[in-house]
Amino acid sequence: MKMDGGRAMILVEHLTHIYAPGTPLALTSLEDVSLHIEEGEFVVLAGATGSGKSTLVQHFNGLLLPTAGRVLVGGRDTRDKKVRRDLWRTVGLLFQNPEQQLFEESVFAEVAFACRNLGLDEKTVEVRVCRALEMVGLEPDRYRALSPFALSRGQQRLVALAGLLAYQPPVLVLDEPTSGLDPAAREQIWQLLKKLQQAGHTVVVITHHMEDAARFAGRVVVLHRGKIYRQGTPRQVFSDPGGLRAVGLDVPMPCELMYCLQQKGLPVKSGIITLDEAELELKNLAMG
Amino acid sequence: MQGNITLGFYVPGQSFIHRLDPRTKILACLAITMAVLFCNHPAGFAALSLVTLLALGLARVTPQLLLGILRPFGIFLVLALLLQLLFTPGRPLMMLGPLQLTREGVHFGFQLLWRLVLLIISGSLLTLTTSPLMITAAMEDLLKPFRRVGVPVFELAMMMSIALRFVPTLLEEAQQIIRAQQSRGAAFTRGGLVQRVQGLVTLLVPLFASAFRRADELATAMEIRCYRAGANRTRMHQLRFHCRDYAVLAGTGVLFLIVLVMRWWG
Amino acid sequence: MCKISIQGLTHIYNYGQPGERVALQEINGEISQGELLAIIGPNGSGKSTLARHINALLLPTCGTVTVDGLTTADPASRWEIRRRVGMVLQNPDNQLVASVVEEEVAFGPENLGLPPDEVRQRVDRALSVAGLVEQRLRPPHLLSGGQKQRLAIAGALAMKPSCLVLDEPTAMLDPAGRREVMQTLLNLNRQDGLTVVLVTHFMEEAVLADRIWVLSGGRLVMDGTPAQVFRCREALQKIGLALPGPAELAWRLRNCGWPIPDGIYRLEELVTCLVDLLTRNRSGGGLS
Repeated sequence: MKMDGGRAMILVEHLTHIYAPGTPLALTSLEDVSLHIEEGEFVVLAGATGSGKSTLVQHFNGLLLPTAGRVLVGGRDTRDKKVRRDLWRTVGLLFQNPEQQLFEESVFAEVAFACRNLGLDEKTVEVRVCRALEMVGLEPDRYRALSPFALSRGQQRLVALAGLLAYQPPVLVLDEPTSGLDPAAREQIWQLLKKLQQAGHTVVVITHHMEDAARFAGRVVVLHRGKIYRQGTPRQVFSDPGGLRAVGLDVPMPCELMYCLQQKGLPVKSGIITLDEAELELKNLAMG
Repeated sequence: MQGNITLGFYVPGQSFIHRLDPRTKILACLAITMAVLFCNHPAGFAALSLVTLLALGLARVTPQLLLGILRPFGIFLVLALLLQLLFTPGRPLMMLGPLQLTREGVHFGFQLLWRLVLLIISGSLLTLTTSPLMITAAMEDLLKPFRRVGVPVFELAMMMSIALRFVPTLLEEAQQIIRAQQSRGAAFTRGGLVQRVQGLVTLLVPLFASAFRRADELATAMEIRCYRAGANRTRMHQLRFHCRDYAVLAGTGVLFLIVLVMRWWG
Repeated sequence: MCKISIQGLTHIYNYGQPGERVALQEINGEISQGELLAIIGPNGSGKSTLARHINALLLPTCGTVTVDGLTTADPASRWEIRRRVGMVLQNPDNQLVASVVEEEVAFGPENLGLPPDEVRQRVDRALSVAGLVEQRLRPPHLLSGGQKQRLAIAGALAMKPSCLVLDEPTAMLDPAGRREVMQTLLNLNRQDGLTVVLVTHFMEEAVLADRIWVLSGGRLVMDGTPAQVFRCREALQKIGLALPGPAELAWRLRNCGWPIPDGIYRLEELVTCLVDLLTRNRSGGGLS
């Protein structure tokens, strides 16, 4: 892939990761993965369970050390322990079901946790926390004093997300941020992430909701059994529904539809990924 | 990736010891433990050591596995030995600075060491060859008579088996929580005592909250399948004694009695 | 035989106390033997609450729920109702009690006090239906999400229920897991005649049902076949629900004058219809 003037925020070179190397339980979770993520990109990482997505992103914030190869974040090599120790400030990682991590007595304290770990003064923390709560749609005055444990799961998810946004890491990595949520809540989160990317953040999302990936991602990277299976724009990646299904993924319905029509002999254009495009293409076809 | 943790380090297998009824194993372990504690005669120790060696062989325990069992206790064993060697009063053998090594020290020291080793091995043989589920089933069965005096044996057994079932799940969750908190800048392995304790809070509070939530959901799930405390449940796995069980019970019982006799008459 | 009758069902949480909340209002409906019923609705519409009334986990504040003539409000019938109506919840982990797969399935029959041989028979059958025979001696925490939910289904099946209620069983699963669970449910319904009540927010699952109930604000606002329900695009949009992809596309094209028959909501049907229309068009049928 050509880099069009963007800086490589995250550079992964021939990364291999083996859990418990040398023991009978050794498992190669990533094999010779090379990837770059530029500043300001919106990248979706997709793959079936066990494909290595979670392992990969844990190399971005220094939780994991490569067994072979290297990972550079902002030009710094993560094999250096000092680099790994402070990497969380640059790369904010939100795990799946982040409601699990809530522990503070108040929503305010919960959202402020990472900010305080950064060592910011209380005035700045106050500003950031309120702003983060507003961004996720939780009114600061109403929610700040509530206990996180008294909230619904959807609200807890938003609090965890606010905690990530409050300390403003340049790179946001989210592992299945919409899992278990209803469609309205899912849409809300994707729109928020798009806004953040437009504001300058680099956004990496692990998801298996390909309809959403089609609408929001600038680039899709598909992993399969620890290796990169395909990567490219959503249009490029979704042009092969059969292949994607073989590696355990779904394709957006419009792609599926176009693929079926193609199979039946209709001359449909390739690269259709949204409903609107499908509608347009069908109308074009009808007009000859 | 800690999916292979099972409490008690149970290793599935088909050896003679594996195939014994779990009640036999619990009772035999108990008998041997008592014998080891009461034994004070070299012949007794020899007999117990032979029996333990036989059991290890029958359970097909390799020397590596044996070392693996003893290694976690290494420091404890060495400390116990040293304490006995250096602080037992008696006939001195040699001087080591302000401390003295006595004949009695050597005798009791190595006796204690040997007792501890035998205890560790016999306990480990039980947990190595018996799944936690089977241990719970056996305990439930052995403690059944206490139901008559109002001890909620079945409920206690259910609680224990649920706890065992959730140990790997909670361990996984603990690891996940640690990763999540580290990603927010929490310190678990750095800083002074205060910071580490604060780090621990970020692990324990969510873990406890999660445990309570799980308990709540699990209670609902159990009710859905008609679980009622105090009702008469049956068990799919029926524990049954075979000849080999009677043989082992008889053997260890006799051994225990012999040791007892040697102590009081020898 | 399983016939579930719901009359005037109202459920108020914290009835009579300051935090009172009306979750269900005057629900009336019937579920007949062998039906596959999908219950859909936006977040907070009362779907989960309704599901929990069917097996007497919750009791009505007003109204009645009857299963085969037995009322849920009657304490004497409660356990028999729970035997006849099995339930599977959303979180795969928190409904598994035992440390070995086959013990998990045996839990229900053991609670019923059945003789060990019968328990063994039921366990074998349930494992075979759920496709978990090879996993029978494994600990549940080593299973995938889809396998865990199938295990929960097997556990319910071992009680020989005539109806199975599932509350968003696939919300926390990846696409492969979702497919496994849905396939198992379809088999149970189509081949074994089991009544299935599926609470879901995935439209792709609702389209597989014989009938759909749409809930909004605690009220049952629509009760009909998928074809009937998905005809009401505007009404659904007003409550915050979207049509399934194929139905949406069909609607849009129909709106532009295309002769697409009413009641198309599945991809296969849409493909067939479009192929037909477009090939006719190319041979002079005139669409636009």
